[in-house]
Amino acid sequence: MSVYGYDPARVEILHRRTREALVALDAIRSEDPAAADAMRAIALARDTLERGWLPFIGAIRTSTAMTAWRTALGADASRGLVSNRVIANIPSRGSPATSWIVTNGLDDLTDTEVVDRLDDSIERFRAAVAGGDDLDHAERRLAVFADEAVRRARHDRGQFASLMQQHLGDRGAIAILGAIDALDASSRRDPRRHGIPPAALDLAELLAPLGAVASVVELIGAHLRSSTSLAPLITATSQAWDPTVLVGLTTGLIRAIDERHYLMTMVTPIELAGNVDALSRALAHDPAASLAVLGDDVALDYIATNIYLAAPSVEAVITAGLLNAPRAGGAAMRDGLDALSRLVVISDDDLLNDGTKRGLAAAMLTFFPVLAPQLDVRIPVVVPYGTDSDHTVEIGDYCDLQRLFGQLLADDAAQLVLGAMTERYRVAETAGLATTIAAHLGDEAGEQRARIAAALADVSAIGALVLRSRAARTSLAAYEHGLVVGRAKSVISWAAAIGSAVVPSARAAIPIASEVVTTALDLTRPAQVRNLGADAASAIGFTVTVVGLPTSTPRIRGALGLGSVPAATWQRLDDLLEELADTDDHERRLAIHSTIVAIAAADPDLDLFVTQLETLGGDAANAGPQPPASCS
Amino acid sequence: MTTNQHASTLRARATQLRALAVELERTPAMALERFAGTDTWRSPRADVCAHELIADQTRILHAADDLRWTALRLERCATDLECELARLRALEAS
Repeated sequence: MSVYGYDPARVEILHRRTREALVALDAIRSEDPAAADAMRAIALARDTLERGWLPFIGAIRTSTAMTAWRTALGADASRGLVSNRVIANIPSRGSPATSWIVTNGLDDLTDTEVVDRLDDSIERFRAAVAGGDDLDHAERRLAVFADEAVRRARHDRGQFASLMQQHLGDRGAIAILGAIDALDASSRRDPRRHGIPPAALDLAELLAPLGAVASVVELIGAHLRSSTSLAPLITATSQAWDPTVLVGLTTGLIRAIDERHYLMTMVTPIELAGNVDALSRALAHDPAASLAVLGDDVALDYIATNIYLAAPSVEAVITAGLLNAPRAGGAAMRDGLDALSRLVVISDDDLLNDGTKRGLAAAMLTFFPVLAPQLDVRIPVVVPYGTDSDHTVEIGDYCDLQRLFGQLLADDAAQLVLGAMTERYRVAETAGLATTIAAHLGDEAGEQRARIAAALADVSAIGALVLRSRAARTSLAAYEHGLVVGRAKSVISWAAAIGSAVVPSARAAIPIASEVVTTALDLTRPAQVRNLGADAASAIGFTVTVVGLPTSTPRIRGALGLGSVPAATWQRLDDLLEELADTDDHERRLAIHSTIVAIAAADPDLDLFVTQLETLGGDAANAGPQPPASCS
Repeated sequence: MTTNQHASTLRARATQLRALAVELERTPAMALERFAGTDTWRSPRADVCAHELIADQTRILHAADDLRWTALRLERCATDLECELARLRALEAS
């Protein structure tokens, strides 16, 4: 609310003068038919003063804010001597000022009266756009009442929407939609204007709760199919819209486009894609709603393959729907897996757009834990979900997944995210291993080693899938870079962005690859990253896990059957691992890795331990059956 | 009503319409904005009030102009009637 001022002495004078003006207008009489227009003008002026001015002046004179103001001004105010001094100190809008009345001057109107005035303002504005009254004045009037209506609606959107619907019926929504179009057209005609008119934003916010009425939703849906003015406003006021309504509007619009309904309108498919784009950005604030849209086959096909949609918008809705939403588990995980299986099918005969590749690469952080244990080149990948894992979703066979990952690898930004997510998955899978080993100290060393191997095998299976998905000419520089920067200290802000994207409570799904990771790529162009080979980066990660576990405590060493390895060896390994964690220099990392491998190989027990885990859980675990050559 | 009376009526109407135009222009509402400036009140609704008053004042000024124009037409009409009457009388006399 802004700060506005009233001079009590002058308001008193104005009150008197207004009443005198009314009396004088009443006294004007003429029976001459030629004076009919003049008498109408007099009647209108009388109406303005009687219905507009006097109630407003009366509200000011009787308001407590006025009394408080007078009190604040002290004795001078009571004598009406302070106005000029105070007026000269009128604060700029928004700054605190204790001496001034805090009001927007519409407090005396009831909600119904505000709705009436808004309705009247809309009509006047539309008439002005059509060439009637002063357009600027009409728009200012509309802005005042739309702002007041929004202010009141924010206290209880549902109640205010009910009042509007009850008072105006569907005509209210129709009028608002018409006014939004008119504001858009008026704004486009005036080159001095920039951005969305505030009144349009207010009207969109008022329209949002009316979405609870089925007939209004139909009107809005029809409007989205034939106009481009509303969709950006929905994005800008997304917090006011019920996610369920947004889901219905988005899927309805996409289905209408799919059925070529745009042929009957004045808008083009590209403009309609712009509407879908805007709705996608609005949806991305709500993971469950995003997932609901992606659960619609027609919508998913359109969003995943349409080339007119902006990559950040698509990435945002895919990330929200497939990375964040399925983390709620149960039905959400099932829906997420269903969408993934559908994307596998789509990627078989169509090209995914860049936004989908990037969003899906990020979503792999959610899918890797359920996908990895089921990866087998010989049988279809069937993923269990739910608390008892008693339900399953068939994702496709190994070749299908290779094709999907092949598409992800075709985009540098998606590659980078995939690398980072693979690294995060490795860290997550191995982070709890020490605790698990400590919890089973009584077990045989072989069992403990098998436990580690199982966790590592899942990580290796993902790495193998990525490497096998690589097309002959695809460089994996960005993926390797992702494996490194996934935990590199030099990209803390980038990692923080990833972190906020995967926290379910985070409000906005960040378009990770398009806005943040691309920056990271720019900072270190793939050309500057030495091509060490993804297997090298993977090998370093493997070694860190395998050697790092027993290095941590003597108890773990004992549990793993490594108690006879000299303490000096562990100390040396611990120093090297610390040095490895501290450097982002790829050559140095390779050199340290080689030293660690050499030290481990020099000790028979340690060498056997590393070799066993490499065979059971490392890349060697994937050296068995290979996918058919036709897959690649 | 005779032609002369008709012409007199038209002239009387014209006089009244001119008087009405003056009354409209001088009515206190036409100067009310002097008491409703930003030194009296400042708020969006005050702006709306001011704009509505300006619209009404403009409408009244246009009405006053129309009244004067109508008065002029009525007087011309009266003059035409009087001339026609004089011409007819001249014809009768000849």
